[in-house]
This record gives sequence, structure tokens and C-alpha cells, in this order.
Amino acid sequence: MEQNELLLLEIKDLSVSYGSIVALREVSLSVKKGEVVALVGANGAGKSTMLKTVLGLQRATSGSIFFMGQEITRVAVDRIVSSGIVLIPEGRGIVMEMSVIENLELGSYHRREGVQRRLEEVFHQFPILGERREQRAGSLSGGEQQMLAIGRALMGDPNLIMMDEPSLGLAPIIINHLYEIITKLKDEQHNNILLAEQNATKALRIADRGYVFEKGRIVIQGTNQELIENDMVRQAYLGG
Amino acid sequence: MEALLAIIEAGIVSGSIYSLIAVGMTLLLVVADVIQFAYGQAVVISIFFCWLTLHLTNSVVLSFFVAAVVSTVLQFVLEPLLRTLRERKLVLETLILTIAVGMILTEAMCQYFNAGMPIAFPDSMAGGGWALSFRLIRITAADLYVVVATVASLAVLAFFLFKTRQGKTLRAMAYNIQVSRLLGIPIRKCTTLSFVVAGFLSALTAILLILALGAASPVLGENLTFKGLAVMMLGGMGNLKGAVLGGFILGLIEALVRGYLIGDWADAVGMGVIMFVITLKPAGLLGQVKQG
Repeated sequence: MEQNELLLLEIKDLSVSYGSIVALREVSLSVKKGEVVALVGANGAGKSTMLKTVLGLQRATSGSIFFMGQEITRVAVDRIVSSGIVLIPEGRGIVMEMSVIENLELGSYHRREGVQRRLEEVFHQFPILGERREQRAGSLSGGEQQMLAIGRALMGDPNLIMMDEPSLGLAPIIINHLYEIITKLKDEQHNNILLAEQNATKALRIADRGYVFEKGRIVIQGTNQELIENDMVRQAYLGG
Repeated sequence: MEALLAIIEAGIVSGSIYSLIAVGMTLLLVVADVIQFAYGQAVVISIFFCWLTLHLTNSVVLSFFVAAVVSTVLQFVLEPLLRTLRERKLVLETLILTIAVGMILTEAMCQYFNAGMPIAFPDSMAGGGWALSFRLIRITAADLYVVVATVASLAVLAFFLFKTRQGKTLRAMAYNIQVSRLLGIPIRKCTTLSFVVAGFLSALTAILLILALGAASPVLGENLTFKGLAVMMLGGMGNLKGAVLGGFILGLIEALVRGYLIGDWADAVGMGVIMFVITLKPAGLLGQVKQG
């Protein structure tokens, strides 16, 4: 079916349990090429678990995950990353003790051609990273670390960028700047982005489609417009 | 004055050996999360194999080659042995396993080589061949080889860790294994690499020991492992620069004690000083307490 060729990521009836705790219950979702998809919901609703399971950090109990037509359900993390999926984890996941440029280089572990060119592109997009390239990553502010995390993700020349709670712990002004960057990634660079966010307002504004998670299940899905106009979503997640 | 210079010279030579051992053990600790209690024994048993080869073949070159190969292979072969325990984060069990391997190696040296008696190497291997004497100061060729080889190998290691992609990957794993996994770094392959690097350091240490000491005994292995650990604690557990610094400090302390105190106080004073430093600064000289 032609429809399948446009599906970058397809998840079918995915269930994930941590011992006796069920984190995801038969979740199905998809990301089409060129889309930004938002996963919204409260803390602990299963969004993080979803992203980690796609990357292979968490083992699926049942169900399947397809990326660019290939099944990746129980494939090892390094193979999944080398096939073009990156995750910017909650808390950014920066190696504090290494320099900015060393952190960026780590992002290109699976994409060794064109490293210098991509570094220049990242420094062009985030000048502050270029200025601080030899500095210890731990000395950067929260917002700068978030840019470093995004820059590192871009160094891998990814087909899909997954972000887990990018606005967590950042001041409102920084969050605005962050979302400007994400918008640019979407509009100018046509990156495919799968975004898990508690800040539903921000996420739904830039996304094409969204899924609302509650207690490990998807309760509502639709285009961003549909979700923004949905009464239940408005009351629970958008402040009425 | 010359006595002091001679002592410092001796201290630098033994310090070099201690540094190499501590660096090898530190590498395994930070990348593979393993305290290799059998490290020194692996080095020394390869010296015994070298001696055996010499007696069987009379070839100096072949004997050195055997020492290098046995040492590297022993360190490297321990990786799959430890892997299951490590991956399940069974720290205590891993520790016990390496202690057990160490004991087995020591026992093997006692049982199967020279009936447990110390071994000695001919002058063609020990001492390196020539020596310079100036009154009380005596520098043998071996002394020179040890110091030059140590400095050179540490420089190569530093280059590897700070300027190459693989080396930077190992450092990333040492700092933050979670993030490394997330970046798609093949953890297993890289851990194996760290064992191989430790193996090369081991091989070098074995050869330098043959040159510097010209002799070995079964207990030397445990002794070296123990001192390696003490040096790591002195410099800061997991700190490579600390391991180098600590190694030279211990070497110098032991040499000073041997030179100025009558009786066999070198080991005791060395350990005593380390205990003293740890009491004042538990994290070690260059160590930092990890936050969070």
C-alpha cells in the first residue's frame, strides 16, 4: 500500500511492562514523513516509555514497531540509532565532563562521513555552541545544554528526532526560544520530529498531529487543530 | 646529595611500574566497571611463562614475545568471563570472581613453575645490558627503558583517549554509561576494547618488570595488584592522572624509606602514607566526589 511508504514510524498494539507495572497498554500510533507529532499527557502517562521503547532502551512486552518499513521491535539500540533514530532524553543527557565539541562528535558515532561539515552547520545554527566549543559541557546553562542536545542529535543526520520533555526545567523565555528552534527544524530543515511534552500548549501549537496519553493508553488523537478545539483536551491540558 | 639522587632515580623507575599497573586497572574500572583483582597476577604469570620459554628454547626474543602475548590474552580472556555478572550489575560477585582468578593464577605459579621458588633471568635480559655509574648513582639500561617506555606509552594512551574517536567513546562510557547507550554506542564491543588496551599495558609492564627486576616470585602478582589498588586510592579511584601521580609518589616513598631506614619498612611506610592521605582526603589526591 502506498500509505505504508509514507509512514516513517508505525507502532501497533505496543505494550510495555516494568515487572508488574504496566506502562503502555496496546498503544498504536504513527509518524508520517515530514510530520511533527506530539505526545501529550501527564507525568507517568507513558510518553517517555513510548520513546524509550522505540529506541530499544526498553523492551516491548508485546506489539510491534516499524521504522521505514523494517521491524525494529526487539532490535539492539546501536542498530536502531544507526538506522537513523535519535532520542534527546529527559534532562538532555549531556556528558558534563566532556567539552561541547566532544559531545557533538559523539552524536556522529554512526555517521562518520561529513562530520566537519555538520559541525560547521551546527555552529552556524547555534553560534553560542561555536563560541563555547572547547568548554566543559557542564558549564553551560540549561537552555544552552538543550541546544547542545539538539545539535548532537543533528550530528547523527537523523531520519527521526525524538524529544522527551524538552522544556522540562527551563525558564519560559528559554522555552520560547527552544520552540522557535524546533519550529525551524520543522519548517526549514524538514526534520521528522516525535515530541513528548507535558507542556501541551507549546507542543500542540507546532505539531501536525497529536496523541493524548493517559495511564498508558491513547485516549484521544487527531490533528493539532482538532485537539486544540477538543473540550476535554482544553480543560485537562490547555488550561481551559 | 648523590645518595638522594640515586634514591630518586630508583623511585622513578619503580614509580613507572606502579603507574602502568594503576593506569591499566583504572581503565578497566572506569570503562568496564571492574576492579580487576587479578591484574598483577596476570602480568606476573606471563613473566613465568617467559622464563619457561627461555628454558625450553633459549631464545630471548621468543621469550619476550610469549610474555607479551600471554599477558594480553589473559586480560582479554577475562572479559567474557566477567560479562554476564557485569551486565547484571552484580558488583560483589564480579569482585569475588576476580579475587578468585587472582588466587588461581598465584597458585598456578606456585605449582607449575620452578616448584614455587622464585625465578631469575640471565643478565642478557635483566638490566638491559649496560649501566652507567657515577659514584653512588647507577643507571642501568633497564632503568632507562622502563622510564622511556612508561612515558611513551602513557603519551600514546593519552593521545588515544583524547584525540581519537574510539578513545573519546571510551571516555564517554566512563563518564556516563546511560547516555552512551542512548547514543547508540556499542557498549559490549567498546568494553572489550578496554580489556584489550589493558592487555597491551599489561604486556608492556611484564616486559619492563623482566628488565628492571630480573626476577619474579609467585607472590609478586598479588603484591602488584595490591599496590595498584593502593595507588588508585591515593590518586583518586577512577582518575587516570591520579593513577600516574600516585604511582610515582609511592615509588619515591618506598625508595626513600629503603635508602634511609634500616629494616624492611618500605611497604609499611608506603601503605601508611596512603592511609594517612585517604583519612584526610577520602577521595584521593586528585579525586572528586561525584555529585548526584
